[in-house]
This record gives sequence, C-alpha cells and structure tokens, in this order.
Amino acid sequence: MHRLIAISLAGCALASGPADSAGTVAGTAIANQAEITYEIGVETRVRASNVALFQVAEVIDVDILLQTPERLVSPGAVGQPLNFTITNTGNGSESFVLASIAAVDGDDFDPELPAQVLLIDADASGDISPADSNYIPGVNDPVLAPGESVDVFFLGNIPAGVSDGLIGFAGIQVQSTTGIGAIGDVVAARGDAGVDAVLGPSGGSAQATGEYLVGEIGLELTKLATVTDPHGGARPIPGAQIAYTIQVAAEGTGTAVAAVLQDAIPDNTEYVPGSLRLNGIALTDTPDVDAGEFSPATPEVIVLLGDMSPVDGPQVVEFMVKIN
Amino acid sequence: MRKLITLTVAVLGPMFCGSMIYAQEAPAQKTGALDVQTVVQKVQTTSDTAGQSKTELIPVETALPGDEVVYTVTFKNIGEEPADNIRITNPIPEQMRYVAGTAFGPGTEIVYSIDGGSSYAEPAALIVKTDAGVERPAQVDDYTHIRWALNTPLEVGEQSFARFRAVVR
Repeated sequence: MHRLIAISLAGCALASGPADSAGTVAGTAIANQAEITYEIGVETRVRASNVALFQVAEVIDVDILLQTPERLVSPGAVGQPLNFTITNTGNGSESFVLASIAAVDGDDFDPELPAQVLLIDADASGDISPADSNYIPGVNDPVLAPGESVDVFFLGNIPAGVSDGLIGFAGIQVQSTTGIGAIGDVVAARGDAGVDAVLGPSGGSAQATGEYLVGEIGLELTKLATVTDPHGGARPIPGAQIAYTIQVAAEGTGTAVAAVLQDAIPDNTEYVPGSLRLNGIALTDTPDVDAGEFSPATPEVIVLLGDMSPVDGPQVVEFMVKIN
Repeated sequence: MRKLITLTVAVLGPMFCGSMIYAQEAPAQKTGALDVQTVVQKVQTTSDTAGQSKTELIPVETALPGDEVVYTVTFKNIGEEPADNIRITNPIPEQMRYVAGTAFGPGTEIVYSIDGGSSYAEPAALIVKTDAGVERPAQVDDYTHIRWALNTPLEVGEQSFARFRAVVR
C-alpha cells in the first residue's frame, strides 16, 4: 500500500516573515520538510518527508521612554506637557492601557492633574496639536503593531505655591491589556491567531517618569525710542538724535545669572559718545570696571546686568545715536 | 493498492493555520524503499527530587523568537535492497537561523547552501558577494539549505538520522 500526503502551506504564509526588531510575528507557522535522494541499483529515487510544523507564540513586551528633558515651569502653570514614547517591543499586535502617575517618591511636590491628563499624539507631530486625542482608558487604548510606537503627553498643572528649585516627578504607566506578570508567564491562547502569549522582559508593563523643575526665568525687554531733530522737532532726519530707553525685567521664578544686554547700533546711525547710562548712572564707553561699554567694531553697546530676579525689579539702560 | 490524499491548506484557510500545530502524523511514505520522517523538537531540562537534571527532546507546538529547536530527519531502509548515494536535503525555514556547528549525521559529509539550494559547499568555501561587489565569508544568517551525504550504503532494515538546530528569528 502506498500513501502520499502532500501538504501545501501556501495558506499559512499570511503572517509570516520576521519583523524588524521584535522577531518573527506571532502566529507565524514555521514549516520544514526534508527531501531524501538515493539510488536503488541504477535507479535514482527522491522522497519528501512529512512536514514538521510549529507556530510562533506571542511575546508581550512594551517600552516607554521619556522624550522631554527636565521641564522648567512656573508656579501655577497649567497643562505642562511631558512627552513619552510607548513602543510595542513584542512580536504581536497589542493594545495597551495607560495610567498617569503623579505621586512619585523622592520629589518635592506632586503636579496637580487636570480633568484630562493624558493626550495621545494622534498626528505624530511630536507636539500638542488640535488633531491630538484625549486618552480615555478602555475607549481609545493604543493598539500597536510589533515595533510600532505612539507618543503620549502627560499634562500636569503646577501648584501655585511651589518655590524656586523644587522638583516634581510625574509619568505614565503602560500595561498590556492581554496580561501582565513575571517574565515567562504564559497567557494561554490569548496571543495573535490564538497562540499562547508569553510575557517578555517587561512583564507586559512599563513606566517612565519625567521631571518638572520650578524656576523658569524670563527677561522681558521693552525698548523705547525718542527722536529729537536739530530743529526742535521729532523727525528722524539726518542730524537728529534718537534716545533709546531699554527696560529689562525678570519674569517668573528664579534667577537669571549674569544677564548681559547687547544692543546693536542701527545702520545709518552712529553712537553718541558718553551717552550710555544704567539705571540713571553714566557709564564710560571703554571696557573697564563699570558695567558698560560701547564696542565700535560691531558696533553695539554692551551692559552687564548681573544676576536678575523679579524681586530686584527692572533695570534701565539708556543711550543715544545720531542719524547720519 | 495506491491511495492519493492531498490536503491543501489554502483551501481550508486560516482556521487550519490556527489550529494545526503539529503535522508529525503524516503516514510513512513507502513508495520507495526508504521511509523518511522529520520532527521538530526542543530541549527540555528538568530536575528530579534528588537534584539530578535530565535533558530530553520534547515536541514543539509553539516557540518564541530566540528559542532554539532541533530538527531531526530519520530515515530507514524498509525495502529489500541496499540504498546507495543517500543525500538528505533540508531547507532552513526562512524564519529560522541555523545554529553554527550543529548539523550532524552519523557517517555523513555535510555541505551547506547560501543560494536557495542551487549549490552546496563546506562552510569555509561559502562566499557571499554583496550588492556592492564586495566578497565576504558567509555567516549562518546566509544559510538556506543543509545537505547530508552518507558515506556508505544503507542496508536493508538499517536506520539513521540527520539533525540540526535552529533559532526562531
């Protein structure tokens, strides 16, 4: 009796092929069939073996990475984003549920959570934009193919009372909806194509935290120009002088260290020697012990304002130019 | 009597792919004088209560990327004459990476192919020519087929095997 079974595996090629990073895709059937050639007398014969087959199980793995370096914030600032990238590092399609983390050990304050804390970067712009979607657990859990990533923003509100230099940690926890646990744990028949799912090194869960640092300082510049022409008017004609008044104010919290004002002399004008003043006190034009100088090479005026903080109040720089 | 049974997975569709995981039950092929079977297994090491570890090969139903499996082709002369010039050819599945140095078969010369089975050579003679025209020694990543050639005829009733290991990519 002769029996020959030929199995065509064409239909199993649907999910085959290795993914870039996560390995062969879950559910892939891997087939192997040997062939034997031999001679009986002068006759050469060829026979194929049966097909040995197994399936690739699903590895559930996830990674989350903070994309925002330490974020400088002011007290009371709302909706301050920390950007995270979530990547499916397994070999099957997975959905992930996200949770915000505001209470983290080792920091000085916890950010307050607005009604909508997590925002999915739906248009993959890397920035908050109108196309992004509010994340609602169980409603729009990200579904990621093997190796696929999505960016998610944590939006924290900074308490009004926090002081300069304080640090607040916050972050996101991501969990596979198929299962979490220890590496190697099996979630039977819950993988793609009904194969077993096995938890990878992440255990199906990952979290990352970012950092808010209170102490954003900004310098606000206000520049006024007053023209005086030779005829007692205010027309910007040749020979007219322009008196500039520049107010520099520190805004926010913290200290701007060693602030320097550099202001270029406009084209078609020339600096009026000896006109530079800081907070009403005349400065020499040469680089010396006082805080200011006129640098003819650029040309520009340079005034060293020193450390500035809002409590010190604004500083005022004045100088004059003549229209050629 | 001669029966011909043809199973075509494409017709049965994905249900077959999802449920059938082991096709070892295919009956022996006795049209020739040799019977040939392929099995895929994995190494399982267990410890008994006395702390003695035991290593055995067990059937593979599923495996993960990175897992190593063992392919074994067994062949037996079930005819009435010796079989000569026996060669076993086994394609390495594209989703698998051959584990260097693991191909084995008693009394065989083993050669490898890196061109889909068109030509075979010993590892040292396998050279890959890149698109840029640069030549480099082949690596296990490049292997597509393994071929075992028996040095001696297989006598009536005699059985032997050819084996290699591979890792799921």
